[in-house]
Amino acid sequence: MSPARIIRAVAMFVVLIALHYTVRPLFASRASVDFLVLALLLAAVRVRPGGAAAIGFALGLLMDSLKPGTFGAASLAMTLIGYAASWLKPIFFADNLPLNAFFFFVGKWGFDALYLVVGRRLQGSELVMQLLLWSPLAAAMTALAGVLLVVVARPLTEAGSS
Amino acid sequence: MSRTAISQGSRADVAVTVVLVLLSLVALVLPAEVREPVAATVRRTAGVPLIALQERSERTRAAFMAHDSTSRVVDSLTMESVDVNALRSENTQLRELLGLSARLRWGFLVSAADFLPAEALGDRTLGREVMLTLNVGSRSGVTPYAPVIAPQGVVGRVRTVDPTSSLVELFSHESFRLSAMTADQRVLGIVRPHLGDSKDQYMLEMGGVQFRDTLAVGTTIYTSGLGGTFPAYVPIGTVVRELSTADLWARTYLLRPVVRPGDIRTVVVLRPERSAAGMDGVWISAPDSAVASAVRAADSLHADSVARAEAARLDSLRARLIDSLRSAGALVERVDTIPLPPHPDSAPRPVNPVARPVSPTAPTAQP
Repeated sequence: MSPARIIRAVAMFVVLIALHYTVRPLFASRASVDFLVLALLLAAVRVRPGGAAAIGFALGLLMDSLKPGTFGAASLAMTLIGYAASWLKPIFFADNLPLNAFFFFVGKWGFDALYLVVGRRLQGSELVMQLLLWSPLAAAMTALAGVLLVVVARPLTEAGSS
Repeated sequence: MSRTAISQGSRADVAVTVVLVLLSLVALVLPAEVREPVAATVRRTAGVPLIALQERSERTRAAFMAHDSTSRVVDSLTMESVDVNALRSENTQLRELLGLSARLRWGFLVSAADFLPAEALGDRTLGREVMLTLNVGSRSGVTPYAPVIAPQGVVGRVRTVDPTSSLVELFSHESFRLSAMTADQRVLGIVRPHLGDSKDQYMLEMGGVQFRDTLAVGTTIYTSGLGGTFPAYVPIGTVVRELSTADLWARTYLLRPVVRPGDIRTVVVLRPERSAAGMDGVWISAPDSAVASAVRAADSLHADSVARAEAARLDSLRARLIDSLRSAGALVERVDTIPLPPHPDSAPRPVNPVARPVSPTAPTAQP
C-alpha cells in the first residue's frame, strides 16, 4: 500500500472517529450510525487480523473509558469484530455493494450482540428488544452509511492506486 | 493476492488477538477502584478531543431541542404579559369605579360596556366608536336620556332602553350636544363632537363661548347642568387650543375628552333622582367646594339682613298706622291682620341653577 493510500486511509479513520462523537450525539437515536464500527471495519480490510484486533481493542478501550460501567466489554467486542472482519474480508469485501452492506450490517450487529451480552447492561425482554429491534435498525443505518462511504471514497482510493 | 496474504492470518495475529481478548476480559473483571483510574487515564489523553467534540455536539442538540420549548415559553410569557397589562388596566379602572361609586353613594347602576361596531350602525367613519351597549335595561331602572359616566367623566347618554340592555350614544356621536362651563362658572358654551380629520378623532369642541371670554390651555370643562340630562360638575374634557371658525361673535375651543373610548370597560348609569341631586363634591376639588360654601353662607347672611330690614319696616308702618287710627278714634284690636305692601327688596331672588348646584339630599335608593 502506497503512502498516499495509507494517509488517506488514516484520514478517513480519524474523520469517522470524529463523526462518531459529533454526529451521533446530534441525533441521540437508539438506531443511529455507529461510525466507530465503520472505521474499524474499513481499517480491518486493509490490515492483518492481528492489526485489526489491535485497532479494535484501542477503539474499544476508548469507548470503555467513556462508559466505565462496562469497562472491557467494548474492547472485547471490538477486538473480536476487528479480527473477524479482517479474516473474513476476502469473502465479504468484494466489489459488490450489497455484499459490502451485509458486511457492515453483520459487523455492527455482531458488535452490539457481543457488547450487550458481555457488558450485561440489559437483561430479559429489554435485551431481546435491543438485539432484535434496535440493533438491527442501527446495523441497517450503519450499513447504509458504510455503503455511501464506500461509493464516495472509491474515486479517492482508485486515484491513489493508479 | 496481497489481500489474500493479509487475511490468512498467522500465529502472531492469533496470539495478539488472544492477548487482547484476555486483556479485555481482565478489564471486565477489574474492581471499580482499579478500573476507574485506567478509564480516567484514557479519557485524559486520547479521549480529551473526543469528549470535547461530544460535549459540543450535545450542547448543540440541547440548544436545538430547547429552541421549540424556549419559543413556547417566550410566547407564553408574551401572552401572559399582555394579559397582565390588561388585568392591570382593568384593575385600575375598577378601583377608579369604586372611588366614583363611593362618591356617588346612591342612585346609580354599574354596567359592563361593549362597543357596537360602527359597521353595524352604518357609520361611514369605520373605526370611530359612537355607540355602546350596556347589559342593564329598563328592568334595572335605566331610563332614556339617562347620563352615562365613567370615573373620569362624561361618557354619553342612554338612547334606547330594552328590558335587559341599553344603547348608549357616546360623546363622539355626531348628534351629541352638552351644555358646558368652567369650574368657576365664568365661561359657558355648548360641547359637541369635533368631526375633524382622523388625528382629532374623538376630540370635542366647545362652541358658543362669548368672544370676551378666553380659556387657557388645560382648563377643565364641566357640564353646566342646563338642558336637563346631565347634572352640573361632571368633567367633560380639557382645553387643547382655540379653533378658528367663521363665527365673529363667539369662540370655539378644541377639547380633549377626559374619557378615552378605548378605555371604556365599565360605566355608571345615573338614575333620574341622582341626576337631580347633582354632582357637587363628586369631582370638584375641595377648594371649589369651600368657595361654593362661602357663597352660600354669604347669600344666607344677605337674606337674613333683608328679612330683618323688612321686619323693621313693617313694624314702623304698623306703628304709624295704629297711631293714625287711634288719633281718628278707631278701636284697634288686631293690627297683624292689616295687609301691608311688599318691599321691592323682599321679593324672592331668582335661583341660578348654574351658580348653585343642588346639594345631595338624603339617600333614597341604595345601588
